[in-house]
Amino acid sequence: MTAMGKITRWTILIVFTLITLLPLIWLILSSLKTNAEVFSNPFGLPQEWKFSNYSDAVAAHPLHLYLRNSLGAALLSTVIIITASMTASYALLHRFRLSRLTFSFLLFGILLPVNALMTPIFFIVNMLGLYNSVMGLALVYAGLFFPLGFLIVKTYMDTTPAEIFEAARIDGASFHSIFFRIAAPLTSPGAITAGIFLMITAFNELLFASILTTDADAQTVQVGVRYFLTTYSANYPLAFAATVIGIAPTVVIYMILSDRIVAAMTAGSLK
Amino acid sequence: MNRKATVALGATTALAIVLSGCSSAIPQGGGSGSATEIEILSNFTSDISRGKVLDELIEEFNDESDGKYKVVSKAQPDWPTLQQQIRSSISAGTTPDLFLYNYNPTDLSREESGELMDWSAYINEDPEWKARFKEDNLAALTTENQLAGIPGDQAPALFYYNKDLFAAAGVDQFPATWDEYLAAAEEIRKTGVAAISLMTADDSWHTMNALSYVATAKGGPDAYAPGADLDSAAIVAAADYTKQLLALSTPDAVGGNYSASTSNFLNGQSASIIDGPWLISSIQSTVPEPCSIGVAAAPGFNDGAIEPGYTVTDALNVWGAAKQSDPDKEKAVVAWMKFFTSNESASRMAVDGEYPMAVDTELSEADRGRASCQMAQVLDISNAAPTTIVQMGREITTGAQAKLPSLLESLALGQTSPADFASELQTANAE
Amino acid sequence: MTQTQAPVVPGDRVSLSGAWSTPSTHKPTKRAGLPLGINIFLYLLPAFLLVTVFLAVPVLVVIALSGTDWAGIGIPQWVGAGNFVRLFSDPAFLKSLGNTLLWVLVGVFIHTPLCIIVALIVARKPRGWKIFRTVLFLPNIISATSLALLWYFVFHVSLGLINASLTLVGLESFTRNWLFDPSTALGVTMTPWVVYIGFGMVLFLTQISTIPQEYYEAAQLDGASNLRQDWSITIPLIRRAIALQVLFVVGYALRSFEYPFVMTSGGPADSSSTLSLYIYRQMLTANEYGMAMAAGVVTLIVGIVLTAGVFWVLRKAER
Repeated sequence: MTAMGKITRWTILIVFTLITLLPLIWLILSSLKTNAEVFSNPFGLPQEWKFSNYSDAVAAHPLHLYLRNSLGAALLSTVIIITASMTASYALLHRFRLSRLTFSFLLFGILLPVNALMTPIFFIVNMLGLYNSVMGLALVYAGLFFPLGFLIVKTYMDTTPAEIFEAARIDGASFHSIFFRIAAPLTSPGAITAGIFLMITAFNELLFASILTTDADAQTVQVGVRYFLTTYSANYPLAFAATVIGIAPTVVIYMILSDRIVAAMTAGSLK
Repeated sequence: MNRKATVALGATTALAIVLSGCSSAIPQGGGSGSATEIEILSNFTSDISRGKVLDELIEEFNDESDGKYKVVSKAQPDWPTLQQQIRSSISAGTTPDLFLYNYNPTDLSREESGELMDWSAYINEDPEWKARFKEDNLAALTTENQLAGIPGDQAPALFYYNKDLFAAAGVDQFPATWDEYLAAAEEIRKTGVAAISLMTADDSWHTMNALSYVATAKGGPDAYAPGADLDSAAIVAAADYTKQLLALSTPDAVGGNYSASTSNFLNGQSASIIDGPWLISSIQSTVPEPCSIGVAAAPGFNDGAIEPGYTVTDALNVWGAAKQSDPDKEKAVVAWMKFFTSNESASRMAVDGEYPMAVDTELSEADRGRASCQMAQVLDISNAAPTTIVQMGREITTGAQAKLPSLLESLALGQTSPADFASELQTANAE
Repeated sequence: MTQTQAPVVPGDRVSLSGAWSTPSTHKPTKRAGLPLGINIFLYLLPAFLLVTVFLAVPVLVVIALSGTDWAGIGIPQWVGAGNFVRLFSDPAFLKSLGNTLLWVLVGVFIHTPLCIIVALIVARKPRGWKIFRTVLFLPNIISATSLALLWYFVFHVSLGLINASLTLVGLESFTRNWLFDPSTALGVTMTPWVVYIGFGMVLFLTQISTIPQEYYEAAQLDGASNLRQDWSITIPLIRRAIALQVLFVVGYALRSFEYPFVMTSGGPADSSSTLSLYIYRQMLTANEYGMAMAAGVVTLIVGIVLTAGVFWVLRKAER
């Protein structure tokens, strides 16, 4: 590799790393400023480190409830999607008359402008009696984000060598046991990739969370952060502090497990 | 592997169900037996002053009712989302017990949905209560002898100006005419700050306040009343002045939103702003010398078409209620509203909540003494106002409202002339 | 027995929906109890329910309402194709449609190659590659509205990092109102195409890791440079991941909402509006639900056409 190539590669990596990290550092610094300083001194260190922003943010709203609701909705929807994606992907390994159509049907949602679905989904959730509940939110996320998860899981399952299934079949394994003993375990790296992606997507969703919930027993962190940015009192440092609290769980878990998470994502299916 | 995976999956599912389940289980406890419970849906979140006062009032009301009623406040911080929730709920037949919505004369879909409670019988049997509201407001909310809601608030949009920044530019008196204002604004700009905070995103609130004032000063109170032709000399003149004001505003005015615009004013980047009284709590908490911010009625014109001192207001916000099958619930809703609109509650809302309500409010001397420097002025200006006119952005059709940001930004960027602005607005409003 | 000939490389599948077996090859055993068809049906059921209740039914409602003048409340009045006629004569809609297509183009032809380049660099495991991999994926786990707000401040005319840096290095003449200059607003709201490099990168790394090492060893023996190896071995073998990425990109572009919403609200004068934002505004500001639904239907059609295009290109490439 030439020196020129080396420089180019490092420049690319470093530029993207800075693009990623600088705003986050800025977020943390800004969460420790006063509202006036966010505007008068947006990129410097805080003149006075206001750690009280964090205690104020926690005191102003039940952030722990929002976190619980966010995690509940994200976890539940992810489990539902992964389960449904695994079984559907497995079923679609078998070619049958309408298999292509089925595949397209399960996937078409990836193209939907979900904003437009707000009204019909509001009605459906109301009819199911799940308005203003974590369960309702989780089911809506499960439906909305299913195509994303399904696409990843399906692509992954398709890369499992056919011989493995063939061998099992010749051994007389049943439809179910091939799924539980071979297809599901071998697809788990793909399922983990999809699961992480889905958890994150659901955890960060705002539009449906704000339309479908009305109180702290069901509202999520993303809605909670909006409380600090209402028309009548935009308090950016508190909002930033709440944002940091809101993203801290995912970032910390991700940082601790990132090696294992990304390793699982990149492990490949060949054993 | 297989077993482990299954167990893990099962455990996660169980955890998830527990997590989501406990949320619906918790709030049940602590209720007092047979109290009739009603829910209020508004944007009075408990972290802003009006929300705090609402919570206090609710607690007192619940205590006073002695277990008969239980009022619960539900708040949605984001106004457009709140309105969407209310519309969808009415549509789905799950109208909230009591909710705050913005009245728009060109869109009566909520009032005419048949899902709202008729207040007329309750207000007619209590003339004293009825007298607390303005005739006009009650008339606007009445269709076919049915009263769709109780007037909630109609916030005056007034000039808040930074006396120090005006003085630094050699302007000692708040200008009486728009031309004097523009001249002063030029002086202010020379000192390195913007003259006025404006914004064009969302509902273009601050910019539309300015435009409405100029339009009514030129064309009188009906300059843009429903049905009026907006392709008029008054609107063209208003667009022309607005364009000049936008040029004298902060660089982020075009495209900026409410938060950006108010922050500029509160941080001394701009010398004035036209806003509602909710700004006062921000002034009190962020401006180092809060009383250096003065309040003034808008300028006019020497040959103006309207008596000076009038105010442009935000839309009339209304408390609507669901039609109830349970008469006790209806009684609870009415009892609460009477309590909430009493002079005592309204005074506290005005003084402590920085939220003047659309009811006759007489402050006691003690309350007056507690009111902030701005609130006292707001109440004086409002009481002295010969007329009030609802802001233009609230009176045009919702379709035209959606086009406002784009039209104002084109105007500011010189892509549209004031005359074209007026005619395009008229087209959008007539659609 | 199987239809494809023992594939050595998993990435070398025939099509995205590559079914590999026919029911006839799978004889139901006694232990299975149920016939295969029923088993398949049962396994598809959860997915079917989810998609039907939360996607298909809502879409049918959207299609039905797109022909009405519904205002969100009351009985919808049928107006036929009226909404579509109005849409295509509304400059704001046409602008949003054009911008959304630009989002797709930038996503496919600039963002995706960037992801591939970064993935190829990281896949060579330079010093600290794990850190880069971890950090570059980080934005994907943070809420889009929060990140968009950060980028709003970065590009802000008087507070922003960009203008501050330009002034600092003496390039003051290049400073501008990035967010609200009609010539830069759209570009600036496409920030996610730079910020979310990590997602595509991980997608490609996943696929690259399945490529047997021997391929590269053989190429090295032939004296092929790294660049050459990337071009002729890696890229062809990750084409499935590329197709997947392109689908994600199209999907993301069609629902792109948070960044334009938070950074510019679609302004100035609609110059950075997108279809998603247009739909949102038609519903929440204008109460024109019928128009919003019609715009949703157009978005859906655009999506279907683009996806069909992706599959068509993919199938051509497979031949």
